[in-house]
Amino acid sequence: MLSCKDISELSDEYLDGELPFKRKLSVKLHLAICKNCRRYLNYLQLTVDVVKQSQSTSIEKSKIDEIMNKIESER
Amino acid sequence: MEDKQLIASALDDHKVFKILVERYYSVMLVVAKSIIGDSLAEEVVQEAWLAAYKNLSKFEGRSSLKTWLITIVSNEAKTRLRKESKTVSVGDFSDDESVLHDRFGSDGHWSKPPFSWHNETPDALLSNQQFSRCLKKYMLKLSEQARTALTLKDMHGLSLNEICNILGVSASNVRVLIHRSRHKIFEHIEKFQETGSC
Repeated sequence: MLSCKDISELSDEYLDGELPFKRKLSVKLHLAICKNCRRYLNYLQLTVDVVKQSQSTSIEKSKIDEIMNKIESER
Repeated sequence: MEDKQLIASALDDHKVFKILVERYYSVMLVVAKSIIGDSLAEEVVQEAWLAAYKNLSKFEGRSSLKTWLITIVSNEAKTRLRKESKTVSVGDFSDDESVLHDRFGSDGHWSKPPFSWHNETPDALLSNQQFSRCLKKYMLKLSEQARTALTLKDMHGLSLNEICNILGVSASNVRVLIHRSRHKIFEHIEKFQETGSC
């Protein structure tokens, strides 16, 4: 039986869907009986989603223009 | 519009090529910075785009355009690194910097379990300006290599193999970097939920 600390160590591979079937099943079994680990993994997933969604879309327009000018001058 | 459609007309139409530059500039800059550092990264990205423009007609679509561009910028940066005779620190992957280490008892069960958070969606958290500012600070507290691994994995969706090739470290080391980074951010968010400040 996995401990909560084991769940923490396997957390990334579990969330990224990279655990082998048997290992994944062991994690699911633990989660079925452990409220703290269910909460922990929910919040770790939230952390991943926050980082994903925080991606800055504000690229400096001048940098893009510099690249396009350079390409134009090389033509 | 999909990359495939854009590639077909990108060489003849600069506006179309510009869409590709806007789409992939960020991820290329992250890759360049991770290899050669901040000061030369923008220059390297420019050179990489020039090379991409010259070779786009030879792009056969065997990999995604993103992977192809990342390979180009990665090679440009590594070539430049050799020319500049720079060395980049390999990083520390030892286990002494384990995360959540003080949260478990000797039996492996939680001694300090996570408490209930007020904001349970990314939107709720990110709409809080104070939190967004804090998140930038949290990211900067990570080591350069850890930040790069996290950014490439969670923001830009690169595979572990792609990240290994860029950083020049093993898959298990990339895993360590991602594990540590996610958990450090997790603990910062937890603190923010509790105190309302960074």
